[in-house]
Amino acid sequence: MTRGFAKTHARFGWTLLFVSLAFGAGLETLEGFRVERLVGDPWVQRLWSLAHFHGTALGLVNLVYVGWADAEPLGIPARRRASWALRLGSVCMPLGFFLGGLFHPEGDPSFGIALAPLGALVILYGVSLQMLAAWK
Amino acid sequence: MSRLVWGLGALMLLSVALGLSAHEVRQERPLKDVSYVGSAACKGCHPDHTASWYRTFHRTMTQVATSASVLGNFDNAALTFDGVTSKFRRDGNHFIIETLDATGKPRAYDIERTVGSRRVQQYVTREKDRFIRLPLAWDVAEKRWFHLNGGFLDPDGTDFNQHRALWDANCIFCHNVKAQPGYDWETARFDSHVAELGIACEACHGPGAEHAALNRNPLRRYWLHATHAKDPSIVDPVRLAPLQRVQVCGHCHGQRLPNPPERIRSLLSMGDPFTPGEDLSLYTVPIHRDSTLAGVDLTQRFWKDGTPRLTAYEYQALLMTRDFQAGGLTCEHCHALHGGDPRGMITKEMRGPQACASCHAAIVQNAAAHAKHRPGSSGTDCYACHLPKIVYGLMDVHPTHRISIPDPSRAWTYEMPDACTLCHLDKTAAWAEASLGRSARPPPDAGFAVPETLRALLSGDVVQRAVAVRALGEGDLWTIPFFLLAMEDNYGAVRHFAVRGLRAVVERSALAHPELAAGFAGLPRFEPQADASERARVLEVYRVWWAGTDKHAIPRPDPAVPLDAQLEPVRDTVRMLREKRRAQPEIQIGE
Repeated sequence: MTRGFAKTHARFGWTLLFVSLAFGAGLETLEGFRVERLVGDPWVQRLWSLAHFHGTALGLVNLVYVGWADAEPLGIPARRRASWALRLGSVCMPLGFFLGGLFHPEGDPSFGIALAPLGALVILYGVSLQMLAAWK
Repeated sequence: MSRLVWGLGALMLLSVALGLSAHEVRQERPLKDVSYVGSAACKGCHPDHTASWYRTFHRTMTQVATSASVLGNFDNAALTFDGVTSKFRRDGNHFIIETLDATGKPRAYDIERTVGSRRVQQYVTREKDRFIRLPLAWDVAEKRWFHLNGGFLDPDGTDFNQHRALWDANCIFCHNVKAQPGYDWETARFDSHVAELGIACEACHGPGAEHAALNRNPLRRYWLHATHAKDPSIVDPVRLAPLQRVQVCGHCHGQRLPNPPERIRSLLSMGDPFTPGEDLSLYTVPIHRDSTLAGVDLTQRFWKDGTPRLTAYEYQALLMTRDFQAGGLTCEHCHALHGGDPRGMITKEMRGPQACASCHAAIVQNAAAHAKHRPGSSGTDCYACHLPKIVYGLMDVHPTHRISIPDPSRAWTYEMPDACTLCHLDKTAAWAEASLGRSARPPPDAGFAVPETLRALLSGDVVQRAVAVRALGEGDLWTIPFFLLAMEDNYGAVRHFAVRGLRAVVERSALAHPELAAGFAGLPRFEPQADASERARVLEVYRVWWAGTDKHAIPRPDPAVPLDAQLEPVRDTVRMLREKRRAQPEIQIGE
């Protein structure tokens, strides 16, 4: 059971890293060909870059977390919560930035951006669990 | 259980916050006492609207004089007008105009501000407590200096400083945001301020301080995004009632008088009280033909049927239009303040029949049958017939904003140009009237036997002549001798149109008549504001050129055109029409 967390985070981390890097490559292509949808809209440019960056960084965090996923002294229920929070937040944050850039009103991201702060809170929750455990 | 409590608590908090935002945006807010923040404060949240405004000539209406804003040639250029040579030079970052001061003595003026940037750029200097608009300006299209006596409708001999104007009491009101001249009636001093130079966001949307402050709250913003509700902290002109909507534009595009007249005192001291969204008539009344103002003949600004014949009266013209009165047509129907071509602030599709299609779809679809003109010809263009170019302003003639049905009998009823004869340049008003199947006939006056545009050119008042000569510029080579007659006019504005129209006609026919064009290219430049003897000398060269031009290949106009076999004007007819003109008093129409 405990080994399951590490495996889950390894799969999840690599997948998120792949998706985010592929998305980044796509962004570079759009930039390279000066696609108006991207370069003509600073909000899309900024939000999608943030989506790419957060996805990549959180993918790496998940891979780093593999080493802690099954480690003491966090109890199994708390570990389950931390793992769940880290994965949920890792999806919500980049997805929020991505959706925020889609069909957004002038001067603001679209409603999808709500996922980004929500994801940040969930990640903070998971990280705080691990931080408290580390201090025990 | 505790998770559920947390979740419900968070949801409740969010609901309360959203509810408060929803309640707040439903409250009407008086904007009158709200502060102005300037366009820089709008850019962060409205980048697209800021960018589309930035392209406009509204933005550059008034600017600080810098190398980026100044369009005129200050490279030691000179202009001689009425015996006075004015000079234009730079001294480092300073732009200097040497010309006459108010007492007629030469003086070097440091230019502080520019006014205009599309057709004409004017220059403003500072003298003690006040800004002064000098009477010399830069013609942007023709890239030349000119004197404003030739830009406004002043006859030759008008005082050199006629258009030396006090910026703080005139230009300030419409060329900036929220003008406050700050005139002290006790000390007779100005302390003028504006919320922003040029026509910026808050000129149309009202003061933005409260809007900017309130919308720092993301819940408020997203509530507005989601519901598309009206934001009471700012004015969105398209959400206003039709009258209030056109008043936002009419505040500047409709010359007006203080209401009551004594309000002029507070206008000059406290500033312009109007805030977009208010009823403009609370403070001012638009000038109409029957308005009175001591010392100014306002009737000359209108055709005799009351239609404005100068620019900056578009508001009055629209109010007179049935499409506004009955259909609620507003400026934004055709004009795009944040899109399209900044020249005219109109999109490409709205320059054509599409502008009318939303209300008159059946007519637009059958435009040729409706107009009884060849399909695709200019006669099927709604603008050409219903918004003819009969309005003078800023060195050009513009479409009227009083949308009307063509009526050639206006020629004799109101001494007014009409769409038919502004296009059919070689036809009489009677011909046009009969062609429309109408029964009205002109009075027994030999003048009406002459094509209407030529009759107006030779016997009309200065606005009729300006409109006529501008229309001739769209004509064929037979119009050339009439341009030569118009170049004798005693108004610089008419001479300007004449030389411009002549050039346009020759250039258009250059392919078909290369020898004529080559001969024209060798002629000296005719300067409309040169002194009379110099103009006469150059004009004689033009006459000799025309007399010596081989005209056999030039298509003849309708026999009604008073031209002889050599395509020279029939003298008796010209004399007869000019005598009618001489019987009228000279008129002067300034700002």
